[in-house]
Amino acid sequence: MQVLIRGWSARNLRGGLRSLEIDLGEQPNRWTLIQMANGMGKTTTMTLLRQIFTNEPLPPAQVLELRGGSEVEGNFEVRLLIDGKPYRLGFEFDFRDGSVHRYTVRAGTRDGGKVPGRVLPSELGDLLTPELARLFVFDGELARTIRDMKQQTADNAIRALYRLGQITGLKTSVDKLVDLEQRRAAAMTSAIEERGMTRLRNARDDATKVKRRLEKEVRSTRTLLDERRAERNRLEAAVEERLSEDEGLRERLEDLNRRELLLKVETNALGGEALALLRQPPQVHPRLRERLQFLGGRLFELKLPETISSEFFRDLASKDVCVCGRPLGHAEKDHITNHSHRYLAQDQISVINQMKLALRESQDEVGEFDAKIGQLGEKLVERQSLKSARDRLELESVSDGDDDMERLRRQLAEAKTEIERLESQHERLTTRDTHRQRTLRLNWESNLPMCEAEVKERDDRLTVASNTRSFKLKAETLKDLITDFERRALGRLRERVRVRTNEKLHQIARTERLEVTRIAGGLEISSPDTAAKAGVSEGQSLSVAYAFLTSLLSEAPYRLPFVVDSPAVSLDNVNRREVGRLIPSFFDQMIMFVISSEREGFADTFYDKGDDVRFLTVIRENGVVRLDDRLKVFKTFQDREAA
Amino acid sequence: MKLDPDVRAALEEAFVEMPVTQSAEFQRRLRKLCENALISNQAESEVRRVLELTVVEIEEDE
Repeated sequence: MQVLIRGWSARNLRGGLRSLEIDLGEQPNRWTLIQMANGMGKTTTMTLLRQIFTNEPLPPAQVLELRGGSEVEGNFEVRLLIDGKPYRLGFEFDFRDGSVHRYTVRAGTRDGGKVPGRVLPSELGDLLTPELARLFVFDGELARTIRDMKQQTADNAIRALYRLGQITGLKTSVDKLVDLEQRRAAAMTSAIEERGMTRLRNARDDATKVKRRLEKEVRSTRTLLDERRAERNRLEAAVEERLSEDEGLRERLEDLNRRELLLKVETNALGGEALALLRQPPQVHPRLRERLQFLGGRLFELKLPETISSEFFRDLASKDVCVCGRPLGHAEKDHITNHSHRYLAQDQISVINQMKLALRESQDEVGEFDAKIGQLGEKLVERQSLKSARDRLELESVSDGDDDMERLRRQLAEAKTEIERLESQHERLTTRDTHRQRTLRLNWESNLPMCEAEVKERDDRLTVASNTRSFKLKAETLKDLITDFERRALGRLRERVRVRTNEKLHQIARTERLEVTRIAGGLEISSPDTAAKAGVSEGQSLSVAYAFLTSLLSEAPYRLPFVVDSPAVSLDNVNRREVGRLIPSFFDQMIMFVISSEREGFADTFYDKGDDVRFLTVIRENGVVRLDDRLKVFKTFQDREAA
Repeated sequence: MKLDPDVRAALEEAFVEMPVTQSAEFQRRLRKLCENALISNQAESEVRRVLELTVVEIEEDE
């Protein structure tokens, strides 16, 4: 991504910025040297350029200090080319209250241009921090701090420009995902640590053991039940056989059997009919029916399902005769078309219509359910009567001295009692009916379906906790990898920048050879001829800073302009010539504010660079500021204040 | 945006130094995630996918 500065303008600001327009052209020259006297607003321009690229807030005190006259408003705007697309970033100052309004103008966007705030391509928006802006809109103070190992200036510059911070941001994203997962899991369990996991696992295993025990009990109860039922059937058959052997009783027994069979058939039929009526709520009880009819009365008037019925009205409106036989004229057809919506509703209306119809049709069937229940009651009485008759028959046999019959009856009674007990036990173990479970006061340790539900719930808790823990361990592994990756990347980039910096330093700092021996937060400088260098001159410091910045900026994935104020003023003539010869070649765009004393040895190295360079001189005459782009004016401009 | 050669080499070194060998799919997705992160274009779903693909050694306490 490439960023170029096409120019800037200032209005109603202090110094020479009351009305200044610097135009570097649609396609700016590679190098621009702007010569202006001290006090013309270089420092202010540099500060505002740094701030306009970033989202750094401007305090009211700073805004008020920018005021250039009696006007209550002022502005500063910079024009950019970002990957060939024009952008304008601006400040509108209000000197009444010290407020500032940021804006961005983008060509060819849907919003039509001017929008509040700094709106840049997202990757550039993240990149342009105040720290980075100090690098490419060069802050002379950096030349000192960049050597301070404690201030991390060099490391921060590398991290910012190669966007290692974005890689660090991945760890934050990972943490957010873990937090999300843990919150989700917290709804079920808080057991993420190993002790909690063990507790959950034990709880799940305990429930599983109970489930196995209950399953075993169910199997043994069923086996016993089957055995006892077979025994009962055998005993009943034996009793029947004993009774049949007595000719006096046989006929009565056969009659009893016949009546019992008939009763069974009738009871089954009645039971089926009663169940069918039970499925029609209006039939169950008058109170229920009343309530349903009350509900039906509250449903809105009969309407038709829209999807299938709207076509009917359209068809009808196209006919000459209505379904009622009357002729349809234009007025009637219009009425049908315009009012059909009153009779149409969403398709779900058909369900409501069916409910209303069912309620209406149920009017004549009230009491039928009660009648069926009454008949079933009668059949129960009849069954009890038949059972008593059978008992009497068996007792007659016993009283006639049939000892076998007495033994069989006793065994049969014992078998039936045992079967009742086993059936009760089986129900307690297996019932899924929640009402019965409550009535019998069952819990997960005595009822298999409840135990199965408990095992599932405990297993789910364990699974969630286990997944969360696994997720957390994965997150820690991934974050460790990212940290290691960052450390290695920073190490490699430091070394690459260090080597490149030294290559440049060997050419720039010819009067005394300097080397960067280590980058670790800041730059550690030494002279190859001596040991580590404790003190360096201002010129040497600047040489190191230029060598470092050009090495950093020229190979970074972002091609940024380099703006510098008085680039050579503290360098001696030999070094400034080398700086002028070497440094600018590393940038796509370099803007240099110079004063007249920097022409010799520095600015003059650009005189023969032809169309790649532009020379601007800002001149103030009789209180009016004007711009001159002629080289001869640049060469001869006398900065009285500087002189 | 492609990773800077030194940044990429650092990532490959970090893969090699991991205590547990990660799958080729994990490595491919993490490279892509880093590329996207460099242009502030990483999606949460991509981070989640890489996280899910991360292989760890879990010590059983049983």
